[in-house]
Amino acid sequence: MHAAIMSLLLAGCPADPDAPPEKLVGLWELHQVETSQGEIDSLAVVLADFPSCVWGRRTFLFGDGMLRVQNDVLCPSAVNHDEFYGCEVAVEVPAVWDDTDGSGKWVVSTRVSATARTKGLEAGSLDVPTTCTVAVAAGTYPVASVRGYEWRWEIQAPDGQVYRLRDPPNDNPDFVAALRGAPPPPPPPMPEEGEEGAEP
Amino acid sequence: MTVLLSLIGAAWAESPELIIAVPVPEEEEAKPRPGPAPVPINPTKRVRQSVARDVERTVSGTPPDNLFGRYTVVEFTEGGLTDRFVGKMARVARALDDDCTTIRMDFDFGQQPPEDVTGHRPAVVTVAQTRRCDKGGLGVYAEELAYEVPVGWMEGDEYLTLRLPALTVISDYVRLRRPADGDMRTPPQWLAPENRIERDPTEFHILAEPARRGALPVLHLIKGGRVLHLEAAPEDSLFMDAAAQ
Repeated sequence: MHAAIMSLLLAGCPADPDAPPEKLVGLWELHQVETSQGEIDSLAVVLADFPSCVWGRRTFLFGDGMLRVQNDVLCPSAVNHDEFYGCEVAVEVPAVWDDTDGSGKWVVSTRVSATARTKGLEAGSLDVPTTCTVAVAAGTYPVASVRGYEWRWEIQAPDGQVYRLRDPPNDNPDFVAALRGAPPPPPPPMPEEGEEGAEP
Repeated sequence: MTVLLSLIGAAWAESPELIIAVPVPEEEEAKPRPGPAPVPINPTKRVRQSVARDVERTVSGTPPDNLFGRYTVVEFTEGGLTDRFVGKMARVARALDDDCTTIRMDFDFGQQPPEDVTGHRPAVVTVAQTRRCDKGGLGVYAEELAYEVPVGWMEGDEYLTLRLPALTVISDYVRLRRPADGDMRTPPQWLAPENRIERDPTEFHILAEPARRGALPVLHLIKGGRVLHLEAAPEDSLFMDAAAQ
């Protein structure tokens, strides 16, 4: 009861115009990207960089003087889609929260990109070589807090794109859930006419 | 006779630097000496075979003229002892009982600049570490984690200083097998050991040994009492085939 009254009182109070902007901290997942052509869902954004993969997500971790960007992808590692590999690759760089001009922004001074690759060396290891990449751009990332939408924050990357960020369902990627939702294996190729085993 | 030899010996000892000046004809002095013919640099030409040693490797050289090419760490000096990089990493992995052993560390300083350029310094450097892992369910595999960063340079008379920014790079893998049709069990999955590289802001002092004709010079990257000894990277990268695909 008391809490409800307090909520009503707080809701009726106008926001303090002199209050510092809300600071974006913690782990957030990319929900959508706003471009000049429209909005793109995060899955399409991530899979554009990993065309052979079936699921992916990008997360941003804003911490104490740092920003970590991470790509998690699930990709088939065999032609018949019996096997998959989940790959996580992250870069973490120094970042500074700046709200001196009344608007909040993260400032990254170093552009870093990373590539992680694997290759099986003996029988029984992954059939295909894997490659996963991630990059963080240097520059200013203005931040806006958002209410009433599926996403909670908007940040503008140095290239002008606006990232909509939502609360992630899990801190770590759930590759098992992603595998359950993965498309079924492609049908085996039909034998051509005249080939051995072809139906008459 | 013995006294005479002693006297000669004493006289020689007093003037050990006996220099005989030979006059050079003026015509010869005026002639420009033919310099060595320019030799195209092969960035992958090996300078020499690396050898294991248990004594400190001599570190000498000058700041490199142009810095380019892909190098690999062949030896590592710490505490007055020089060791093969691969051997040291193997011992570290054994001591920590790791599933993965670092087998290679490369520094890529980029493409060779045009011939008329001197003092070339790359704006970005790629550092790549390769590990060989043996993990149940994942088998035996090679893993490379490479990062590309902008770097700073500070010129000096004695050495060149390379500044690498602070960063952390992490990679992780999991292998999953799809359950058979209609089987709703949790898919079998095998986790790889995490690969993490954490680097504080780092300054390396770089010295280049005189280069053999057509080869990249040997480089020494010095940080405090530790030295990485670099030679031109061999072409036989484990990931050469994968990169070509």
